[in-house]
Amino acid sequence: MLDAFLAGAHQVFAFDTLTYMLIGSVAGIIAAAIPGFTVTMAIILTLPLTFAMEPLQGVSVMLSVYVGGYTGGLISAALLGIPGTPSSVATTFDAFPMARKGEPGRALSLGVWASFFGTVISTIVLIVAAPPLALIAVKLGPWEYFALIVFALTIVASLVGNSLIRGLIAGVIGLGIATIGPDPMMGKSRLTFDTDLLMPGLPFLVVLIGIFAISQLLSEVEIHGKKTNQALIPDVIDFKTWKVMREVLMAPVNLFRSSMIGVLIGALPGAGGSIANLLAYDQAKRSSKNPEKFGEGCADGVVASEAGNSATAGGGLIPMIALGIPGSAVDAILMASLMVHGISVGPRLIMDHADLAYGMFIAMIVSSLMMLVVCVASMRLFLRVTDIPKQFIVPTVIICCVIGAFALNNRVTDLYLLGIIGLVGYGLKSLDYPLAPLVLGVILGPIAETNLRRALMSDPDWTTFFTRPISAILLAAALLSVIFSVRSILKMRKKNRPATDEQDGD
Amino acid sequence: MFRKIAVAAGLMAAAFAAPAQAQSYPEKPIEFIVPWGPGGGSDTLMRIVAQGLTEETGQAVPVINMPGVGGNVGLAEFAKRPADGYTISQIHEGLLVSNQTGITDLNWDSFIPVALVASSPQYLTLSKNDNFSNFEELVAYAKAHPGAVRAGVTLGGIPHVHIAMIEEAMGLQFSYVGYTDTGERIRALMGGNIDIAIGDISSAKQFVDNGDLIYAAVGTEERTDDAPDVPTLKELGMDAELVITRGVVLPKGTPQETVDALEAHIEKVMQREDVIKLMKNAGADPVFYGQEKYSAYLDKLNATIAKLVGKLEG
Amino acid sequence: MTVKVTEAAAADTGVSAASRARTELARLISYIVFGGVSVVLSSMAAGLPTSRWEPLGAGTFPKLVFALLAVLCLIAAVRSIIEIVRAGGLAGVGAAFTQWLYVRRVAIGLFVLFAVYLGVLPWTGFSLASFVFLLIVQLMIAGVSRRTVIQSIIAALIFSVGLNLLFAEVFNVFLPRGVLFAG
Repeated sequence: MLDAFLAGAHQVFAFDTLTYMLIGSVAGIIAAAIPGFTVTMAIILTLPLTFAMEPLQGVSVMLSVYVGGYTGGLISAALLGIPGTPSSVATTFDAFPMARKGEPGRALSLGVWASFFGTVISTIVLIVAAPPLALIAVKLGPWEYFALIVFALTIVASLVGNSLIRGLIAGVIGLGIATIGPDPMMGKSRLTFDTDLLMPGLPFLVVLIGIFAISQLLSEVEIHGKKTNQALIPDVIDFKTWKVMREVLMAPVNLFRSSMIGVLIGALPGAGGSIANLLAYDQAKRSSKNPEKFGEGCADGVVASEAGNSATAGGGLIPMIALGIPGSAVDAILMASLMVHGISVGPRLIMDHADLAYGMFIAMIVSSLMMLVVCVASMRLFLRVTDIPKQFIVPTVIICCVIGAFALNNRVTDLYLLGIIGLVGYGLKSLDYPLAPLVLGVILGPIAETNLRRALMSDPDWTTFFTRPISAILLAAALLSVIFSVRSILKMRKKNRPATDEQDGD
Repeated sequence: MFRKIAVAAGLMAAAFAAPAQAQSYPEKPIEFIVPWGPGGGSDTLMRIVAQGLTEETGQAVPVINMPGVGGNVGLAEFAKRPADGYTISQIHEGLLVSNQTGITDLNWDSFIPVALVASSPQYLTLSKNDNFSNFEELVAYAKAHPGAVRAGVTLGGIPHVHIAMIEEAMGLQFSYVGYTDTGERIRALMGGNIDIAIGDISSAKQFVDNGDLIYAAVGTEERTDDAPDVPTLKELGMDAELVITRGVVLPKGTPQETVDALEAHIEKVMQREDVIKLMKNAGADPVFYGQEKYSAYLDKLNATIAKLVGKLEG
Repeated sequence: MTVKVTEAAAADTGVSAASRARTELARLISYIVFGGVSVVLSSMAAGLPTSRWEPLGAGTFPKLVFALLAVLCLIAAVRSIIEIVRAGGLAGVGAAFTQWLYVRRVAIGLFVLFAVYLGVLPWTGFSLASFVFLLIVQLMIAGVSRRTVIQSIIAALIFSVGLNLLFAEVFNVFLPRGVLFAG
């Protein structure tokens, strides 16, 4: 075992490997920081380059892109209020208000440290507990997946903002949007009106960019009685890197809980970072003593989201290293890269290629350190983004969104969808609909439908959902979550009633 | 960003620095539309072919993924491209099935089949269970309990065709559970959520070697080198071929000399040691069928699928 | 998102009942639109063929989802109407709407330009369309002066032609080239 460990370490710590990894880390951060570009895209672009490398070298470079990418999304989430990747949606909730209140440096530092600790915690779990966790993950059938998604849907209550009913409407619109296009079981086309536009369905990334980025950019240029060509965040900046590190570590419960949520969600094949950040945020808000502070620049919110999404990186590797089952799209590409080198990834990976498995663990830790160093060193540079006047930021980010939406599937019709969804998103935003539930609906809808139908195909008996223990527990948790939300909404209402005498819409 | 670009450019240059050949076609980069997403079987194999073509012709062959509606989106776009040989694409059995089940109007003869390059043998794969552990036991159990064996398939897709072929030949009746890709099906087999599925070398061999899953039969003419102990369906008394083949196509109307030139290039690519090795690593058998043999193959396959389509609809 | 929301909420408590009623009217319209669309889509989904492979067909899930959406919109709309009536009617809707549009004049202009940009993109190709789009939008936001024109031209060149070259040459990702200049 020590031999394999040393062999792996030897390969990772080679000068050229480290150099490529550093480049990969920077590339991942930048790609994820640009709205419309995703980690997955960056990894796909890296894939052909790794063909020419040694297997472990190639995988290490990809891991550095991956880890960097989970942090990069934070930058545009905090500074522009636009999630740079699908996994940083919840980061916008608190990091952006914090930045607008004049603390962009603190918001970034918080996110970077949370990402770092999240990655490290997930790697530790990966090393210690991969085989048993992977076995549990693979035993989960469609019933458990469906129950988990039902539970995840209940977190809409934490995301609704001012009005419960508009939050619910937004969430259900999201579920509805995701049903357009080919049905997930047979590829029969649904609700497409036989148009080329809707035939392939509405890709999640296009919806995300349209709803968050385009609508945010449009509202940046509204004129509320003042000049428009000022910088997005006017104030002077303070990082407080080390103070923030202590701040993150002083709330270990939140950090650990969020990281574990990320690990577990990441370990489930098919779920991933885009859910983990929202779940972690929801749990942080529920267990907080001051839930009303969430959404106004609360440090715990930033930490929860960023630790949660970064921890999915290690989580996703759990089923891959233990069983050869990819936990996410990125892991599938990692596996493809290993396969081309003649390494079959499967349950025997740790036995047959121990050096590779240990090398990947080491590469994860090295990647997270590199990410930390790169981020801390270049944070001042990132913050310069906030000095750039609006007239440059707004149109260039739109162009980046267009490239991202197009490069996803190379379809021009996706661009038209982007325009339409952007307009709808702007309309919803203007009418004070919360946008996060809509995105959550789009993510969860297809998983819910596929697993519901699959469950009933496997066993037409509905009661199976309640007789399988894990499924039953998750459904009970969902019920509790709803009861909890209703109670806290009623409590809030009681508290507000004497003061305002009037509820806003709900 | 600039450092990234510089290094990426350097690496690309190294990868593409290939000997140029004195031939008229191709004179510029050839775009390779792969109508499936990145990371899948088609994508991996076609990237290997693209890399080989680059080295053979000295021109870049960028792969463009255009997934959607079972390959239909990419192929529809491909059909609109100029027929000059500078856009090529790829098809497999899935197109023929989608055509028969009415998902798309395109079929193999909407294009010019240039060369079949890769063939992936498909294995009937069983989960570990108490009721059967080989083909004969499966048949006996399924005969005694119609509808009790849960088969994981892509509803209305190739795996569905393959399972239906076995059902028909052996007079069995399975119940179907829909999964969208082979990885998902193998995972469900591992978890015991389904009983049988169609798997291949790249997705299932490790689990079979580890004793978690069982290969009951292989759908090729002869036993494979990868799993020499697994009997063929033919040996088991069933006349059926279960393979997935992937080939390169050109748009209708491409000049014959261009088609011939591309065919010749691909033939050379398929003789390259590195291409053969990479393809085997990716779990497929490198093969080469030229224009005529490939067309004949597709024609025959189409007839087989047409016969079975009644079993898939609904 | 959240900042705007809290601002709006804070503003809401301070402003008059009439203005609240006007906001509510805009929302009421959105409820009616979403509700109407979801009724149509739900009935369309109900018409999808069922499957013999499974108890739930392709149409079941969308049918349920859109039916739920219709119900939610109905509830929201009823509450909205009650709200408007309680707030005492809709005085000055026209003027408020004009004001609403006026505040968003640049945003609306930006979106119109964006739509035109997306429309011409497949014909003119990425570089040209993006260059013109970038230039116009930058000048629209910053105003026209010698300095902004020069800055805008440089920035527009980098992010149109430059980005296109970067993606094509380095990443082998080909952005739309345009039918007009095919070849």
